[in-house]
Amino acid sequence: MAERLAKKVLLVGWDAADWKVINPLMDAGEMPALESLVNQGVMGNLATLDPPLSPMMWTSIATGMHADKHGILGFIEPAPKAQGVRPVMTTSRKVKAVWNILMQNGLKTHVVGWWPGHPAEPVNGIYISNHYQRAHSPIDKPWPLQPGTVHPKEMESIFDQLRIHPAELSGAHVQPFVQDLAKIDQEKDKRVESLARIIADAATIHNAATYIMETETWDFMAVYYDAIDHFGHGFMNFHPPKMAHVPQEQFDLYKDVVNSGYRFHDLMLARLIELAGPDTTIVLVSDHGFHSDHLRPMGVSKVPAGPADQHSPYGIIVMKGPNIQKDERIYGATLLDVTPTLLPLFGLPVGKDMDGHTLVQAFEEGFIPEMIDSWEDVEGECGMHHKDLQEDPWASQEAMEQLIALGYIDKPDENKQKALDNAVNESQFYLARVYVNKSKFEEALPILQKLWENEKQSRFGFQMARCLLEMKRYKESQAVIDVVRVVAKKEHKENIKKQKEEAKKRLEEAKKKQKEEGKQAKEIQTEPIKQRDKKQKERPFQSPQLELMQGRLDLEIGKYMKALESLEKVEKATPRLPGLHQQLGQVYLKMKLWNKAEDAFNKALSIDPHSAHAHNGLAETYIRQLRYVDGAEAALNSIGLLYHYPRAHFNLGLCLARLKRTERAAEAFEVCLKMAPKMKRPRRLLVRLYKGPLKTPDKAEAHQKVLDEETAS
Amino acid sequence: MITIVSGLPRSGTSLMMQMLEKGGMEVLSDQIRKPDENNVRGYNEYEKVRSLPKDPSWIIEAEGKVVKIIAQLLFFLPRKFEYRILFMERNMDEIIESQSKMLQNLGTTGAKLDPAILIQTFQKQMDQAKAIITQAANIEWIPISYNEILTDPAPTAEKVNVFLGNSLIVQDMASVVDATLYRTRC
Repeated sequence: MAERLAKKVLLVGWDAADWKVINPLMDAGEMPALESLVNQGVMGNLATLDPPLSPMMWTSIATGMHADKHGILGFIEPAPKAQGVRPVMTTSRKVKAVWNILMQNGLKTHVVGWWPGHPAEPVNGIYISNHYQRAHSPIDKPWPLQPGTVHPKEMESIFDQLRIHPAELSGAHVQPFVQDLAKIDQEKDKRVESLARIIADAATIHNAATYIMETETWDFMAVYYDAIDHFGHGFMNFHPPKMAHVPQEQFDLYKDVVNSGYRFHDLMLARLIELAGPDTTIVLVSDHGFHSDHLRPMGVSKVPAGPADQHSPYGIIVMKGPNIQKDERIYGATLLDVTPTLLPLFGLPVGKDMDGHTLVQAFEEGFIPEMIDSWEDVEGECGMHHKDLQEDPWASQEAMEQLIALGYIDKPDENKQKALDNAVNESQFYLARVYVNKSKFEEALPILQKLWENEKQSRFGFQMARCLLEMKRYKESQAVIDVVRVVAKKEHKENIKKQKEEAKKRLEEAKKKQKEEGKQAKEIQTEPIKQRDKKQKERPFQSPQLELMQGRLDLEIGKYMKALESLEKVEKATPRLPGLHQQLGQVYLKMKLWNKAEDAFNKALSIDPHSAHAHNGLAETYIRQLRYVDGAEAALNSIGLLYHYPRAHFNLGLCLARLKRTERAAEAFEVCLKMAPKMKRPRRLLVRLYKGPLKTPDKAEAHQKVLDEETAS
Repeated sequence: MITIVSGLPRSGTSLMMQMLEKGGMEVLSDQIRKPDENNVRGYNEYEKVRSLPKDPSWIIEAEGKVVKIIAQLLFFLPRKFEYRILFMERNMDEIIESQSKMLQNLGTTGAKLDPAILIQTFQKQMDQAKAIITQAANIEWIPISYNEILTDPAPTAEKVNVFLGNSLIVQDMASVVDATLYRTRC
């Protein structure tokens, strides 16, 4: 076993925490606890995965694996025995979490509130499930813990007492979030109620965590807080700067909620740091960010998990402790890297089957982690559920379908069946997106084709067209895009119709209520609604994302002018659409309009400075202009944001080779080939470098051999 | 006391029902599902069983009789009754092959799963069912091997008779088994 680098490790999860909100607060001295970690350790972005759905992400954080391996595919899953659906469970996770591996190596672990975390896993410490904090009944009714919430069971009564019901909060607790609490009619505006629930839930989790830290010994402790995500979904639209569609009165009331939520978390973090002690390694992560600026969407898609539109692609990571660098930035981390980074802290090897990598840059100089084929092959008690309790809910559901088809079990009632069908479809869609995210388009395509055949939903067709495009099946991609365009238009019309019906219903309810209350009915202002309807009618339907894809397709098949036409049309309608200028830059690059390309990529970066693709586009533009120093810098920026980006490593290598920094260039090409072994150009350039200035003919020969084999096959 | 013949579909549950009926036990069956090419001697099923998760009230009708309930539904048995379960076991590959044939004959499709995964999943469900009935204080159960019945039915008939309190005619039970018929049907 390698040397143990950490005495104890505390892993803290803040769902949806984002540097864009944190940085101004830290600069103003309003998050001192987090700032102390940052100053004494390393910080960086943590790139999320697609789809950015929290239960999938937190399981990837805890396992170092993508969802196709860990098996958690969304928020819900089929309940056993064809009984509809249920929230995702720990029994469905197919692989070991980091705490299981640690327990297997004799380390004492506690887990609080992880998602999914129910039923509690039988670890060698305490495990509190993510169903623990929810108050399902009013305060005057019994509020029992669900079976399986606390492990060990004997401690249930202690943790039962540590919970806080939202109704226990007073105005004094809520006022730091909403100063003008008295101005709110809480009968009509239920936001304060939901705010109290979020605060109480977080405080409950914190109580359990601090109780464990005060009373138990431990080597590893994981605590997950979901409140920042909830503050975001409920109140980010009121966060400054004011969004145009938000009424001033509501903005004034709720504008402080998000910042206060972060301050609240900093207070809790301060206590965790204090209890952990100075020798403990602390790792703080979030699974994705949350748009808080001009990138905030006006609304969210009317599809399952639509609120995920508000998530941004970068979460946060902070690490502080012995053998960790001080006051440094780390680049290119993804949430898959968390577990492969935690294991070496205990001197344990990283599984080769894990999709993430150890963040070696976070460690003090010269650290190289050890590897093991797979932790899944290591026998022994690890605190996972007994194998009789573990199951693949999706396979179980299919098996139940077989029994229904054979006539031995009734189909569930219509509602349950519908929920089940939806859950199955959604999970398949998410699985396909996981494959797309991993560039496994061949595996994603048949899943998407099946979904598309069953139901023409534009999101299914969109991803299918994308796969076909990536697989260079351009004609088929175009055919699907054409149908998606029609389907999306129809969906748009239906959504407008639904919105109108809902507005009408609300209007009628308001009138009815006024009548019931015996008040004189006020004149209802319908003119703005009519004007909005007129505008909607006049505005031709356009799906910007689809047009972006059309532009990309035209670009791929060499129809540059047509691509430009599509993209300029999108620019007119939605000039700040993320990805648009990136695409335009690509077209200009193909058309050899270097200056225009540079402008376009810079514009893309002014909209989203965290776009790895825009930085890489800029690198390519500089290379064409023979500006290799600028090119290298842009490629490094890109890699810093997204490490697993072979194209950016290639561009970096190219610039370094031109700048005669041949060793570093070779390193960059090697990294590129590790990520994309089928790329030929970096291999050819490596052959040249190894044969020439680097004088290592054996390496040149090895690469040449691969090239020859590929040519022969 | 309620007697239950359980297991997976195509694990020999119908054969055991016929054995018990022939041996003198009263069967709870409505004969709605008629004999067909998959089961030429009939299924001995009771339609209400299928809706056990939603409505278990009918179970009282099974008092003193034998009823067929597949293993996945055992979780839904009301606790206030006493049960004896004959749990049918058969080679899983044979079960899956037989179910596939039955589905084909019914003109329908079943699980969209690789057969190996389907076997694994059914096996897990059987293990779970057995774990539940082992722990339940109101349930007694024994495993019955379908393949052993075909080879030599008498010992199994005797075993079942002992389990059910020596009230059955063992010879008649054994006489039901027509190994050729069952083997060809798989």
